[in-house]
Amino acid sequence: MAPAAIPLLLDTSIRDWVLIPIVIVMFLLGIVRHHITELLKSDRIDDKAAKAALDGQGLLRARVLRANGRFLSPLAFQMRKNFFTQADGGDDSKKGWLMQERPKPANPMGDPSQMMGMLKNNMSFVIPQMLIMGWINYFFSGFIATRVPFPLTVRFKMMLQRGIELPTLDASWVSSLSWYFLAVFGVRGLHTLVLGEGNAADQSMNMQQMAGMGMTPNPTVDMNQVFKAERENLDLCVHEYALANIERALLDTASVSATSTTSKLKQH
Amino acid sequence: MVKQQSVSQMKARLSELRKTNQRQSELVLELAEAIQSGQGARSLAAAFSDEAERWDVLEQVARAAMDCGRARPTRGEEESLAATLVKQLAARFPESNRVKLLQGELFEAQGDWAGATQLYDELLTETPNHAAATKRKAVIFKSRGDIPKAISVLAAYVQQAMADYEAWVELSELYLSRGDFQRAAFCFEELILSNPLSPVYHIRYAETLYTMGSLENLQLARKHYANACKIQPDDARSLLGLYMTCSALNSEKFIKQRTPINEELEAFAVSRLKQLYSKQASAPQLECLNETFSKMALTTSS
Repeated sequence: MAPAAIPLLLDTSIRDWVLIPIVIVMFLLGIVRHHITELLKSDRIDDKAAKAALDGQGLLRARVLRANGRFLSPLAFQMRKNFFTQADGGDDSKKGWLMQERPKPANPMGDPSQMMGMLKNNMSFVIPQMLIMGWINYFFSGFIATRVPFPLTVRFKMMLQRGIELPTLDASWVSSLSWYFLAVFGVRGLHTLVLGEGNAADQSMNMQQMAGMGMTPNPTVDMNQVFKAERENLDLCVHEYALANIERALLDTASVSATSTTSKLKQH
Repeated sequence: MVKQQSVSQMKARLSELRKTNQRQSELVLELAEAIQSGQGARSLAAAFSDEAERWDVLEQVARAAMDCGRARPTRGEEESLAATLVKQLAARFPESNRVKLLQGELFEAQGDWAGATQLYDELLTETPNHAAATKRKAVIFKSRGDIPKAISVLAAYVQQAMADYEAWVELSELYLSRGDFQRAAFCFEELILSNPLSPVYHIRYAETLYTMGSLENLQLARKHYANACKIQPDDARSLLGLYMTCSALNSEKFIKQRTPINEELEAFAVSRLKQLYSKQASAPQLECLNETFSKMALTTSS
């Protein structure tokens, strides 16, 4: 006797009071979360970031010097190289630009203001998440909410029937807790539709962020290391003056083109 | 031309101008007015239903209005177009630095230097190293004719933001206007580094060196003129510069350092120039040119 053959009927009020409310709550929660993050977001460029940008500009100039320095006279090149890599001079102002000490990047975990920022961000995700989970568990745990309109293998029981331990139940029935999880990921598309691309309602984004805690790219890079590398590159850079024989080269190309035009004329 | 396009086409054109950062202010104004009347909207903001696009457009049109003399009320307006738009933006984004910068530019366009300077100073205390505000401050000094102040602001700025080549260009112009060729040359060296394949910076560097005029400078100028000629073979400006430099080096003053290649180069520059002009100039003009060359040869060799 196949147990799946027993017909199971669900009360329509389960649809009206469990199925649809869970989806609506998840959707509204996403929207509220989006707006809260917008409010908490501080878009001020802080002093450190501005300084880092300036360091980047200096580095760019050093790189450009390395790449295109051959177009300058040896004197002009040496002057710039000294500006970047000069070693002597006891005080910091006379040292080369790349030799100066930069402040070490602060450990993001040790910086209370940064910690606060991260906390603020995560709070808006974690707290409602906990509340909703509690709500679902309290009211809806342990009963079936809906069924998917196609048969599924037993393996799906893990996914779709969380909170119900019935080995004989067909796998296409979905428990309320599982429905909640499906809704969490399912409303993402709806949010993109309503709030636009890259909105803060997206949970999976947040989960990725939590995995790589403090992934803000710049501040953790130690500029001293970058500077040291650039300094060594610049030290190794040998100045080969590109314009050393430019006059000769110009005359040569001119005479070549002249002969080619005369030979063309002869051919005609 | 504008009249025949549909509103969506005109909007696309406006957005293209905005994204490619072209400063075609008259066209922008014309398009904005056509879009507004085409949709029968009461204000420009109402003509754009897309929230994100609307504010960008307002900023773009406000800048264009300032360029076209609409910073002060004209033609019986109660309030100038630029001022209205800036006011709308300020009402929507009261804390925005970008709007503050626009407000400052409006003050500048209205000739309110003190108001603009105050605003930029405020911006700079809030966000130190605000590039645009610093540059605007330098420009205010320049517009008021206080070139040394403008130079000191910009020079301090490029020491910080070393790869801002726009600022280096402006600084070189300022130094040239003060006759400070040494420092202008330094700026041009920086610009050559930024883009060594552009003949323009080579020419301007060489011109500065030629003007300074010692033996080393002239020799270096010759190199850079030659490089410019090589990059852009039919450029009269660099050919003439090459000719002038070579003839200066051929003069009595540097008789000990004369080299055969110099005369060769001079002859090359003259022949190329004549060749170039023979394509375009009329016979009397050519005659005049030949005369000028022979006169110049006389003055430099004597």
